[in-house]
Amino acid sequence: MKRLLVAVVLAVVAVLYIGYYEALEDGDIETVFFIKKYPTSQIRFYNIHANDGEIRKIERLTTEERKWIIEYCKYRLGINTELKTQSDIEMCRKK
Amino acid sequence: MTGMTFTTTAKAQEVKPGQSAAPVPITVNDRAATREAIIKKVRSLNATFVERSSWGALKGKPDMVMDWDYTMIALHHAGRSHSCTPGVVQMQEIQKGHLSQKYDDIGYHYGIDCTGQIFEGRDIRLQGSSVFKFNTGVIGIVLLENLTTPEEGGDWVAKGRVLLNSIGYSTINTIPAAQIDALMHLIDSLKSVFVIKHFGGHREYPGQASEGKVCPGNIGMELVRNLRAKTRLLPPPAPQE
Repeated sequence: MKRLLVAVVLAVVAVLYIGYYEALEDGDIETVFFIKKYPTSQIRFYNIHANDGEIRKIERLTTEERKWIIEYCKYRLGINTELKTQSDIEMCRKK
Repeated sequence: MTGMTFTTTAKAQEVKPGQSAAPVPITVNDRAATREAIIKKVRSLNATFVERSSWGALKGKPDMVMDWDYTMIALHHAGRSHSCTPGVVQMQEIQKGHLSQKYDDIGYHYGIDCTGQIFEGRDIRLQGSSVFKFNTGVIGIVLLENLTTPEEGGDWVAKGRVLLNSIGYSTINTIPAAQIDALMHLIDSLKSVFVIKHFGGHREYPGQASEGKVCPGNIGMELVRNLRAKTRLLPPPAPQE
């Protein structure tokens, strides 16, 4: 019973603190795991700049893309941003 | 004529009776015709060219960024998980992967498989996504196999390959002659319509090495150097300060 409890606690901690995103390396997709800066049940994140494209222009971002960048920036990099300027996007692209 | 349409611009001029009209310069703006010219040129060199529709490409997203006046070509390899398998399947898989990573379409303009078939990737009228933060004016061409040497990458995959090599199982690929010929034909065709000045491996372009890029691998880079000597193209430009 004790072991089960420990396993459950570890699993919950893992879910809350371990996340991942996928990065493009040429034609390959690599999964990158990381320790979240804040606990959340969200496990999958998107770094839409972990590839060989251009940095997205702030005025061309969709609502969904803004959400992905803000989430990644907060939980991966520990930066809370409202994504108001182009330099905010540049800051949040870091791997 | 084959029913193609052209956009032209010219200034109106007044012509008095008895006078002949002065020659009017006409600006022809037809990038679609240029795309077609590239395909025709490649085929005239006896290379096989497979258009997007023929390999089952998915439609790219709307409102993609346009590009033109290309002066550079970046050579890529497909990555360490790739090998000489049929090009159609590889192009489909790469496009699927790129779309899943929020690209607007496949990132490369052209792909060449090991048999020398040339595949059309992202439409040449659109900016590629193959050189991080340096895509303007760059045509991306991918060779559809792995062109790294075992130690490249420095991670567990590299360690495994080095180990396999040490016990006599080679994981080093050679570039097929048909693929090199096709690449030469494609470069010649692109040079026939654009003023191409630079030809380089992905990792040679400004800002790429510091991002940890190994593409197109040591084997790919050897090919790049050989082709630069043959084509007399220059290496990629130095980074701007």
